[in-house]
Amino acid sequence: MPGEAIRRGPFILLLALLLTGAAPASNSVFERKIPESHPVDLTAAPLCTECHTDDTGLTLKPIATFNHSADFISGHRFYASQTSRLCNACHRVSFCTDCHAYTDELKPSDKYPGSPERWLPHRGDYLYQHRIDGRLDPTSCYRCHGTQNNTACKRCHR
Amino acid sequence: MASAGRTLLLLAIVAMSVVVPRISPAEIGVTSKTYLKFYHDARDNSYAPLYEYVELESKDMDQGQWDFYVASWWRHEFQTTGDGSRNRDELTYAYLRYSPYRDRHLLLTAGRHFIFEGVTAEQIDGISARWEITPKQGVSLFGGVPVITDFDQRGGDSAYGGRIYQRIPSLAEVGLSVLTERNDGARFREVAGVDLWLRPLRKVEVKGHSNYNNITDGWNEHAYTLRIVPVKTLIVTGSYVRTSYDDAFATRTLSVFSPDVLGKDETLTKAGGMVEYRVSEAVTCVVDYSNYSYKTMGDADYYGAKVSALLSGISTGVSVHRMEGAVERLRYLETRVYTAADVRSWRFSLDATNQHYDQAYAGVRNAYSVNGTARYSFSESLASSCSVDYTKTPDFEYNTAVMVNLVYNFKGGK
Repeated sequence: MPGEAIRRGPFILLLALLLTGAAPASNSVFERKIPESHPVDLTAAPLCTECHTDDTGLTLKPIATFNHSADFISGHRFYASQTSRLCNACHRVSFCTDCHAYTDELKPSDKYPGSPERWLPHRGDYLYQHRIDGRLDPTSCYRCHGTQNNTACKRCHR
Repeated sequence: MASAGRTLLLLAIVAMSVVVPRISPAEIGVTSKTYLKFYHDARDNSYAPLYEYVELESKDMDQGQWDFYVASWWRHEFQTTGDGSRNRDELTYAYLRYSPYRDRHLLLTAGRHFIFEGVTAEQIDGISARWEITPKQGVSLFGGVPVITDFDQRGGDSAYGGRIYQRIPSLAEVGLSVLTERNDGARFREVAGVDLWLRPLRKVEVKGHSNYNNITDGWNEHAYTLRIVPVKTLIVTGSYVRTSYDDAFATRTLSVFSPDVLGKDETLTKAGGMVEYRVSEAVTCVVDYSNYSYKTMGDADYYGAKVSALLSGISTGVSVHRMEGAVERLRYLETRVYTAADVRSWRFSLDATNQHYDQAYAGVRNAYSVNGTARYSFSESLASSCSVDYTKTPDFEYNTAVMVNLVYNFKGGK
């Protein structure tokens, strides 16, 4: 059964990794710790490479990987799923919950109407457009509203 | 969370916020955000909700071993009560985090908190541990009661899972993760997945994930992106996402994600790309294209460009996109223009979007929304803004919404 294999696979691999892959890392790698907070307050989406030049950076990825380009921002969920601790060096948890809360009623664009450069979703009256976007790609709705943060949705969608 | 449990948790957190700073020096930050909004709905009911969002964080300044965070919001409706209650509230998060080590390679968290680990992007009332065994290998584990199953009794609800990863410096990271959720003792969600980041060449990165639904025995989603950076100022990405609706939406709390609505056995394949060119430090251009292909429905293409700039303290952006779909509703031109300027203690912004439909709906071909906002900062810690939204859509002939906002930040330490 593929489901059974999927269930057991991670644990078998975990065991294999811990037994075979845990070779001690060099001191230079250990020196690159994730700081608890960024030493300078950042007020806009950063280009990390403007200041950081170290090729192998935090979380053992090149620092350029974390430049907040358009594709990084649209795919930020991937980086959060691998390296959320690095996100937390600059972003407070409330930065995430501004959009990804459980039952929040205010839209992100309502919370920050004076920051249009952030391209926050659901600007203006989104009621009509959500039918079009929902038909086009319901996965983008589902991530936030499929199992949570759907109190407003339930007024119409029971 | 039941209100008694929530009250207990809050009391525990407040007690900790008083006691722990007395044990060791602590930095405490408090943020209060107050919003008062006035608007009408399509039935011409008027609303005037008042929202209060409060966040509190405290960090151990001496050893750096512990910190804790609380956030909550509360709403009071002064006019129409659409859902029958004037007051609503939510405990967004409330957790204590502890690390026995200064470099925090082992992190223990307890309370209501978010888990972002591989397939898991969940809010739980429980505990979690994240252990970077070496910089190259690590494991995270979590367990507790999921918040998303709070729609009925919490008895028999549970969530647990974890992620393991292996890294090769500058070359790769591979993670394997699982999430299991039960609601009232029944299987609610069982997802396993692999996440991958590769850098086969110096200027090429591949990232993505595949998630498997163990209840339906099918793949939820495969999502992969190829990222090429030929020169520092240019980023080219190509992406591929394939989603099976029956598997991805099998667990849902909204009827609209049911196969009865979206279609049985439907799949979406989204493929496209983006080119981002940094013309100068202040100007960036992005051109993007996406193709939406379905098993049963007609396809659609979405393409366009946007330019954003920051010149002399004025932030400006323009975007134009065309949606070209097989059905009439998916044929429109979408445009957006914004500008924001900082003048001493003021910030003024104007933001306009327009959807020009090929075919009019309810007599409307241009659905637009205009927002104007003025914000004044009294000091570094206190700011207030007033925002006006003016919209016209097929649902509303004309609609105006007004929002007044006050933000207060405090940071202090012992």
